[in-house]
Amino acid sequence: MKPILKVENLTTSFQGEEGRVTAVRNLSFELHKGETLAVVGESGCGKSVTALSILNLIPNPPGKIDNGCIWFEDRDLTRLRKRDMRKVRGNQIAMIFQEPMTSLNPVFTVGRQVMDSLIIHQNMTKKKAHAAAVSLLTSVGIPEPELTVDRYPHQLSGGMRQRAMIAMALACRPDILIADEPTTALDVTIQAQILNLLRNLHDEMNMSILLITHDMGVVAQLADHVLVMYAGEAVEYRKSKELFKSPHHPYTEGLLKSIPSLTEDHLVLYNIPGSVPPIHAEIEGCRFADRCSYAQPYCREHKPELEGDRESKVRCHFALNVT
Amino acid sequence: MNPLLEVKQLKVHFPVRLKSQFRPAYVRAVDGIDFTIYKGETFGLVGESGCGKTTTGKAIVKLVEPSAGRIFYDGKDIARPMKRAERKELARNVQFIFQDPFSSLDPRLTVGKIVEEPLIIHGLGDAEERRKTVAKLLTDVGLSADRAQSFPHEFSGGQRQRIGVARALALNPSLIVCDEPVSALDVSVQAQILNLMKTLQDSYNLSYLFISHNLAVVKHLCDRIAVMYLGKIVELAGKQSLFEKPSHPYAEALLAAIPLPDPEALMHDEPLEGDMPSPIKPPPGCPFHTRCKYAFARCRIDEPQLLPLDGDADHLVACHLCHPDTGTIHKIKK
Repeated sequence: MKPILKVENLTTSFQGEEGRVTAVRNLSFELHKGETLAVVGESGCGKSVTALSILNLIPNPPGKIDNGCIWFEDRDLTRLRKRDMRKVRGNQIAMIFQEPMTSLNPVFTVGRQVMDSLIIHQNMTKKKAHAAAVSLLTSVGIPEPELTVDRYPHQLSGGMRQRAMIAMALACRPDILIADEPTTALDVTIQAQILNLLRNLHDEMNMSILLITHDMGVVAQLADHVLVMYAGEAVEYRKSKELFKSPHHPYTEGLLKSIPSLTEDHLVLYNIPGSVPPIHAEIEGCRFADRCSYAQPYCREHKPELEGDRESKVRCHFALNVT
Repeated sequence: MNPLLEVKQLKVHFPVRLKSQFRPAYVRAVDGIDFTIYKGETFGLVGESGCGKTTTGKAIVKLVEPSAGRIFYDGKDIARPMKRAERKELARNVQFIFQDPFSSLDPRLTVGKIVEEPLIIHGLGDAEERRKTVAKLLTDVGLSADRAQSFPHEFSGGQRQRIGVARALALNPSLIVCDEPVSALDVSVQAQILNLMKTLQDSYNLSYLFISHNLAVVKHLCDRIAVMYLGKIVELAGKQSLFEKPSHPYAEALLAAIPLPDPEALMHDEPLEGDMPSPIKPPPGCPFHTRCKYAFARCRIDEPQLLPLDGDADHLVACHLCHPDTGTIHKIKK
């Protein structure tokens, strides 16, 4: 099957005070129709930059896509003219941002913001778009949608704002929804509501979701496939169920083991020693070697490649749990 | 066991001005809570944003004035207005670790100065002794002592939180109030800080009041846990008994809402509906009745008291369903 989105050798860098820093290095992955792919990693691993690169939203300058292609419907999004990109953005590929308060416009009503993309992309009349906005707000579970449609973002609670964001993103029934930490700013009971909503909408509309998150719990609940990133690189790509059962990359294993468990008791939590290498560091061998408990001298000299078959890839010379 | 800190009927109300209303309104951030922290214990305070957990922590270190109620530290009431010397005395014993390691350290002071400052204020030791103490503190929290001359921006988030811990330890306190100390950190670093806090508890003989929204973290670290909702404690129990048998419907929902890092354990329960009511106008009766799937008539009028469960005096719950002797309808679960 042909993937709906194919990222090839994406490299994105930013001009910093001390020279260019590469946030995403040579990243490749595929997203299929109806699939939920989670991109996980800790702060600074490049997961959000990946999302912004796909939508061509990297501020230039200081940022720039140095290399790579992003194939969507036989077109390379990195080479699209601004006008053409605008037709894709919010229409065929939509995005939900992390902080619903700062990503909604405070001076327009929620309804107006949902209507915008309908009027622009689908040439709806204002009246029709208004009606469509009400039904969208209903579908994301906002109570009293007829009234809420005319309310301003500050009049809504955090969970309701995130629902309004989701309604905006879904307005044109996009093929791909990019959700960048959609529940990180929310309380856990509200997070459960939003996760439930995303899962139901996904089943209903059969869209593909690119889920960006650092929360392994959220990944386990939503994702079919998982791409683990570390220091700008993909280190493991697996089916979600297999990844949680038997991680191949030592970083993935460490990440899973450091989560305090609700079901088991540990006296001491496992932790990955040290911290992520500075983003501008050029490392000859494996970028994780300094924190890896399995590292061999070989790892520090030879850079591992992301290897494997279509369903399972890992970037490690001594991958774990491999038979 | 000796109680170190006793909180009795603590209330913190903040005045707010509402439009077209002449009478002042109050945000009832903390609305009458009781709990006790024993020596050497880690006491967890969990709840969602706006439930009053941070305000409780701040009231204990006197960063906000309580509106009513008493707080006893080592038998002495610390909720009343205090003289400067008394406050200093309290600060020697009760310290605070803040959530955000980026904004809670002065960017213009070296790390050495930041950790040394409490010692100077309290006039402990001469310059040479202080330098030694700072070096020891930095080593104890896992930083190298020769980094005392560096500035906070040269450190990563986890290292900065270590500096915050060292500063809190400087006066050798017996109680540290930790307000979401790891929620700004990545999981791998979070684990490092949690382990550090556990180790220090033994070596410095500390008690913690650990405030967090993350139940898994609280479960890992705490001995007893209080669940707060809308300014009130709805359940207070030992760790084991709370996680095995959450008895308040809110505690139950809170536990069920955590996404487990296991694709085989998908959430099936219907998540809790709606939002927390406004703390300016809390609903009458049980604060949770607006979202509770078990709520019945009495919950809307009569506020339940925090009472021990049958057969477990250490497990307190504020719910009519759990106290059949005071109500008629028993809790029916599927």
